[in-house]
Amino acid sequence: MNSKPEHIINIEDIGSFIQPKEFLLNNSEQELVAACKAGKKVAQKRIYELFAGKMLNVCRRYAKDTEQARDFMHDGFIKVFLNIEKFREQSSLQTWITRIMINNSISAIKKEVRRGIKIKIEDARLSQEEAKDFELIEKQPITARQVFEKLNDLPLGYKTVLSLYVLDGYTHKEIGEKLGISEGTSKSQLAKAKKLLAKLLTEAYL
Amino acid sequence: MQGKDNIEEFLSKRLEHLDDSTQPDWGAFEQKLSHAVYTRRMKRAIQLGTASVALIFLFVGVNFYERFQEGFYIPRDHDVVLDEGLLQEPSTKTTISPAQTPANQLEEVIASETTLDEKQKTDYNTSNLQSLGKNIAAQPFSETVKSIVKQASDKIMPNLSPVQKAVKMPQNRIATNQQTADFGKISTTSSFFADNTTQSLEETSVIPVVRPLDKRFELDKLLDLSSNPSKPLSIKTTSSIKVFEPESTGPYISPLQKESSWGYAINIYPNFTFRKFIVDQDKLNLLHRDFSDAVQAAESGGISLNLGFQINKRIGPVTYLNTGVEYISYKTEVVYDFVNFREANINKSNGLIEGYTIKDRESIEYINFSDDNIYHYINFPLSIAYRPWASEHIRLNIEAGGSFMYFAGASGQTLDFKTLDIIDLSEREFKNTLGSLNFRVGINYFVSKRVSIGFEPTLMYFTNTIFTEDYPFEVIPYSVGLNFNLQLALN
Repeated sequence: MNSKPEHIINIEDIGSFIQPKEFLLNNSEQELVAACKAGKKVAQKRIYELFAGKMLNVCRRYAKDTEQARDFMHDGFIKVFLNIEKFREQSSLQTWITRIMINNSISAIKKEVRRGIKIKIEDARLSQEEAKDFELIEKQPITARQVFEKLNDLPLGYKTVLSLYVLDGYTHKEIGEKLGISEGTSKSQLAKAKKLLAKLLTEAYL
Repeated sequence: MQGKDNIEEFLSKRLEHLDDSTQPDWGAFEQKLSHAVYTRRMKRAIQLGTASVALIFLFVGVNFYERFQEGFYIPRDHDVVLDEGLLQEPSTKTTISPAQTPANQLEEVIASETTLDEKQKTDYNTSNLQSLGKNIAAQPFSETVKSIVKQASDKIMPNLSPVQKAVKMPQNRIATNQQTADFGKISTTSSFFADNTTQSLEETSVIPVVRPLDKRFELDKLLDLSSNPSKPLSIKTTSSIKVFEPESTGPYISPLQKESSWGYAINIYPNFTFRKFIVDQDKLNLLHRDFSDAVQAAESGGISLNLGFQINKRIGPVTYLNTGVEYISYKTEVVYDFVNFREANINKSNGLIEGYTIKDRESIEYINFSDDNIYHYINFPLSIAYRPWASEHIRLNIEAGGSFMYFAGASGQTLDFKTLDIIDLSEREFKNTLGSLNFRVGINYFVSKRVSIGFEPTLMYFTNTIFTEDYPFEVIPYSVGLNFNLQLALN
């Protein structure tokens, strides 16, 4: 007797006459998760195909290069599939996978980020001239890819704190806990990262 | 903070639509996933297997320990008295009743019973039991007595040789007094004291007292005395072998003490140490002033992992000389968190800081640095251990001695004391040797005969440090540590 909810269709029952991919494309996230929890390779593949692109971008925020980002993503997906039974469906699958990707990437680079942070303590605020320049940048048709490239040009520590705070919504306290640095360090790194990014964008596109 | 808000908003909006058109490489990932799944299954199998094996070993070990615990300790240099409880049947005394004795033997017993004269009776008290024992032991045993005692002996310890019967003792029945009765001792049943009017040898029992191994009095030897039939002795065979615990005149010898005076063991223990750093006031020109407070807070403690081979030699009843060799890996986490707002002016000829230049606003640095610094040593300890108390499983250990440590290298990164540059520890010079005196008091719990777990607070005094003359800190030579020791005896 199958203990699955009624609305979940057994893949093995129909897999012989329906192509798994076609079938899964029409199923909801919940069904995908259920199939994945049952260890169905086709479900795993579908989840991977659905989220690999987005997750690679997430990992690239924390990796040195694309190759390292791909490794982070693979490791992250392995954790996703090995722990899928822990997914309680209290958030969307994408949110859950994104958290795993971030945590996995952070744990990989944590030591490197912590080691040797030496920050020039200038005034982190943009000067009036820099602020005016940045306003012009905002009006430029700069693509997301171009912005992302400049983000990747930042030192690892800057990039990490900036990504965690601005793009992934962590607080300074959470960032401090994740990276093993003080809240103050997180704040100062963020300020420096933003100023440096503004400078890089201005130099490149203005 | 208009710029700040603008930048954050700009980033969020622009990167929100970052294309994610990367082609998923499922094939490459699937291989990694399969490997990970296989590895996880293997790990679980290994964990399950390890747990099963551990349970089996535990079960077998407990059974082995219970069955052979009397062999746990072989008595040495102490008197051994056979134990009543050892020879008794589970709930009854080994009394040979008339019904169990052949009629002719019983008659012989009755006929040959000897009672003591009145004077002897009055002398029966605790203080002169020893002399009475001598008297009785000097009396030849009749064949009947020999037969009765032997029956009792064989019934209870059928598979042991006479020597084993004399030696085989449970560990908690060891008497230690060297001044035990010479030959034999009389014990009485309770009725002997309760009713003086009926005192007789029928109510006495012979308790053979066994001397040290070389002078051991064997049960069969006692029986052989009956070859002289002149005056047979009647025995109501409560024929027991009783614990004899005379007044102690020496240190208590632990049942955990080994027979051999030499011991070999492997020790594994983490050690938590607490040290204090103080800036050497005479070396202020070797240390960047912005750095001084940070480094003192940063390197105050650490943890070392010690793995060693220990040799010990018993040099007294409860005193040991310990030596061996140990590998020590000492790890300390350095965390520097400070502002560097001045530049040190270093004299290039002598390398000393001659003054400071305040940095301009653009150059001030906030330094946040952390790393694990690991120092490797080979240690040659020499100590004297005194073990004045022990129970069956727990032993008190008081140890004092010294050690000679050879510095084998260091790994990790730290900050240069003068320039504040990040440097590798391998770039820093260290002395090769380090001496220390140490004192520890601890408790060892013996899980089994060979395995013990120790808890030992340790105080160490270092005679020198591995740091060279240009090290700007005065290292307080005392270190307080806490060992959690796992010891595996090899013999």
